Amino acid sequence: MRKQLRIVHYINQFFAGIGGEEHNDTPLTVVDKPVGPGRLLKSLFGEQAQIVSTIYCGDDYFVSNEKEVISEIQAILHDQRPDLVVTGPAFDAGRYGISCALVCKAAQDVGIPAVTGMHEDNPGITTYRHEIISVPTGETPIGMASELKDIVALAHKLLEESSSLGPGDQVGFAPTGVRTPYLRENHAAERSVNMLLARLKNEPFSSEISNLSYGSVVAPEPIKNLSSTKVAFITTAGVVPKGNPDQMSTNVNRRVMEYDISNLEQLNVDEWESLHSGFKGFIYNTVNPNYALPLPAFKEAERQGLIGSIYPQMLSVVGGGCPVTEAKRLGSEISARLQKGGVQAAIVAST
Amino acid sequence: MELEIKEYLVEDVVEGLTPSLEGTTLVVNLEELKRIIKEDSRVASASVEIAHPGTSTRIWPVRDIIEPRIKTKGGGTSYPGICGRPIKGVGNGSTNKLSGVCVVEVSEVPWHEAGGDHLQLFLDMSGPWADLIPYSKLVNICVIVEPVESIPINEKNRVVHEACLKISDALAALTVGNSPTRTETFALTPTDSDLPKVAYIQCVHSSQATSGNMLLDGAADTFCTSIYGHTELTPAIALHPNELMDGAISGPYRTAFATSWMLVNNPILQELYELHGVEIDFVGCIAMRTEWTTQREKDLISEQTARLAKLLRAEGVIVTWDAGGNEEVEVVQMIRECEDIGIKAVWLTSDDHVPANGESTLLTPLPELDAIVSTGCFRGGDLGFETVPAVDRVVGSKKKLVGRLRDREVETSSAIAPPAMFDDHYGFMNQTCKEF
Repeated sequence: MRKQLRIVHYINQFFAGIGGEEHNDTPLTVVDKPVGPGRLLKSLFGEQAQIVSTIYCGDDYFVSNEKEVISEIQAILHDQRPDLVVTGPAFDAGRYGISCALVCKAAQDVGIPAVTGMHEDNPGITTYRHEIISVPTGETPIGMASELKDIVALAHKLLEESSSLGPGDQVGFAPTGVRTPYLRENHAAERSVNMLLARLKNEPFSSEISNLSYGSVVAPEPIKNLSSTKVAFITTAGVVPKGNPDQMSTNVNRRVMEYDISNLEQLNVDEWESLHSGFKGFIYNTVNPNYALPLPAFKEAERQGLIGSIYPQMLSVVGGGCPVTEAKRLGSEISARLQKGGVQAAIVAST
Repeated sequence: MELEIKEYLVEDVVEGLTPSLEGTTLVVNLEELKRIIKEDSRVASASVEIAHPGTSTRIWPVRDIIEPRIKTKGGGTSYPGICGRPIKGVGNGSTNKLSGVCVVEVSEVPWHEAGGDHLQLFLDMSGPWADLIPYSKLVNICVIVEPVESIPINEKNRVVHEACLKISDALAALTVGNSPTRTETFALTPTDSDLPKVAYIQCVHSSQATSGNMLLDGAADTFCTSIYGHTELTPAIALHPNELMDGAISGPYRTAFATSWMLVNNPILQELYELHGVEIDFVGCIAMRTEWTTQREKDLISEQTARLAKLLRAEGVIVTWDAGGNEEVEVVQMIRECEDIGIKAVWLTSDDHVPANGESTLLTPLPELDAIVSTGCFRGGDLGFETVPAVDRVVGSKKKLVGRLRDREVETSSAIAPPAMFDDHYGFMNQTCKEF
C-alpha cells in the first residue's frame, strides 16, 4: 500500500462547531483529528490519507491577528510536515474566505501544496486568485458533499502534477487569472465566428480575455494659484541620459527613474535619448528630445511666473507594453515620491 | 458579384528552361525572372532563389509574401490599385491562384525614412520559428531586389513591390490552360430573411501620421498595407468580400501576419462565407483605418464605422485589427459604438505579450468589450525560444543589424532572436493565451 497522505485541514469556529458570530474571537486551536467538514473529507480520501490535524480559528481573531496567526500556522506545519493543506470550503463567507486563502498562501510559502473552495465572488478568491487553487462552490453549504468531492479530486491532481496544473476551468479550479500560452482545438477565425453565433442566438459564450475593470480616477480640485505651485514633470517616453546608464528597459519597464533637470534650460540631443520602443523615436533621438519633455517651455513658464517653481527632478517611465495593473503600481510610486517632495501639480508628457 | 477561385496546388518547384506548370510541379527559369525585374532601370540589383520547406535556410529581410494570382475572367487585376495597378473588375469573374508556393519580397528598403519601423521579419524554412509560420510550409520563391540609391523612398518601395508583383503575375500566368486542383465560387446570394446579418470589420493600420519626418513633411503616401493602393487615413470604406479575396487590401507592414498572402487568404472571410445562407446572412465588409492622431478623429472614425455597419443592417460583426497601442483606442471605441447601437461584436486580438504578473495587456477594458478571441502572444521568449538556431544557407543579406539603436552587426546565419512581433491578426492558428 502507498504511504498515507498527511493532511492538515483549516476551518473557522462556525464549522468547528464552536458557534456563530458571537464566537468569532475564538483563538487559534489545533486538534489531532478531523472536525466538522473534515470528517466527510476524511471519508472521501478513504484509506489514502489521514487528517493529522484540524486547525480552527475565529474569523475576527484571524483577521485582527493575521501576522501572529500565520506564523503560528507555519510553525504547526513545520511540526506536522503534511503533504497537503486543505482549507474551508468557505462558500460566500468573506472573512472566512480570506483566512482560507491566507492559510493556503502560508502553506505554499513553506513548500506545501494547498487547496481550498469558495464562491466565485468571495473576496478570498477575488483578492488572491493569482496565488491560490480554489474549487468554485455555491454560496451556502447546501452542495458541500459534492464540492468536497471536487476538492479531493483536485487535491490528487495537485499532488501528481503540481507544476503544470491547469487551465483551471478544465481541471476544476477557479482560473487564477495568470495568462499562459495555450493551444486550442480550433483556429481563432473559427472560434470568433462561433462566439458571434452564440451571441446572436443568445447562447452562453466565454470570452478568451476576461473583462477586468480598472476603475476610474476622481480628478482633484483645480489648482487655485498656479503661480505659487511647485510643478513636477513626468514623461512616458523613457527619456534618459544618452547611453541609458541605468539600463532602463525599452518595453514593459518596471521602474521610475529620476533625473536632475534643475540646471538645464533644454534637453540636448547629444546628452539625452528616448527609450520607448512603441513609437517613432526619430525626432527625440536625432533631432530634439525636448519633444518628449518640453523643458524650454517649462523653464519659460517658470521665468514668467506662470508656475511657482519646477521640481528639480524629472520623472521618466517607459509607457510601451505596460499592463494597466503595472501602470497603477508605477503611478502610486510616482505620486508618493512627489508628495514627499512637496509637489502640488504634475504635467505628464504622454507618448 | 460572383467570384470563382481556381486553386492550382504546387508541391514542388524546379528550375528549367521553359517555365510551365506540369501537374503539381512548377518549372521556373530563374534567369528569365531576373530579366523581367531588370527591365525596370530603377532596379540596381536583382536575383531570384528558391527555398524549400524543411531545409536549413533563412530569408532576410522579408518585406512581403505574395500568393501568385491572376484574373482570367471578369477583367481586372489581382492585387488592384497597389503600385498603380488598375482597379476595375475586381471581385467578379474568375481568379486563378497558385497554392503551396509564394513569392517572398526580399529587400533592405525600409517602409519610410522616419525611423522606428525597422524591417524585422525573416523566415526560416525549418526549426521552431518555421513551425509557427504558415509561409515556411510553402515553397518560397525569393525575389531579392534593391533599387538605385538616387530615387526617393516612396519610389524605392514601389520599385521593389512592383518587381515582386511582376514575378507573381508571371508565375500565376502558368496556370492558364491547366486543370485546377479545386474550384470554389463566392457570392453573397440572397438568403432566408430570418438569418442574422453579419458584417466583417477589418481595422487596418495607416502609418500616415507617424511615418513622415514631422518637422519637414507629412507622409500621406507612405508604403504599408494599402486599400486599392491607398495607405493614408481615410473614412471607413465598405467592401464586398470578393474584393478582399481579389486583393483589394494588400501589401505588407511590420508584423509577420501583415502580408499580402494573409490578406487574400483571410480565414474570417472563409468562415463567414461557409455560414452564409446556412446560419448567417453575410452582408459585407468594412475597412477602418487606424492610428488617428486626435481624440476627435478617433471619435469620428469609430462612430462612422459603426454607423456604416448599421447601414449594412448588420446585427453582428467580427472585428480584426493589426497593430499597436494608439490604434487600440479607436478599435475598442468602435466596438463600443457598435454595441451601443445594437450590433453584437466579437473582437479577435492577440495578447501582445505575457507580463510577469500574468495579467491581460488589454489597455482599454470597456464593459462592452466582453466577447474577445485571443490569438495569444507572438513573442519567441513567451513561446519558449529566445533564439532560433543557426542555418546553413541565407537568402538575402548575410549581415543583420540588431539592438535598439541598430548598432550591432551579426551574421544572419547565426543563432539570432526571432522577429519581435508576429501577431496572428486574422485567426489562422490555434494559439491563444488562457487564464490558468
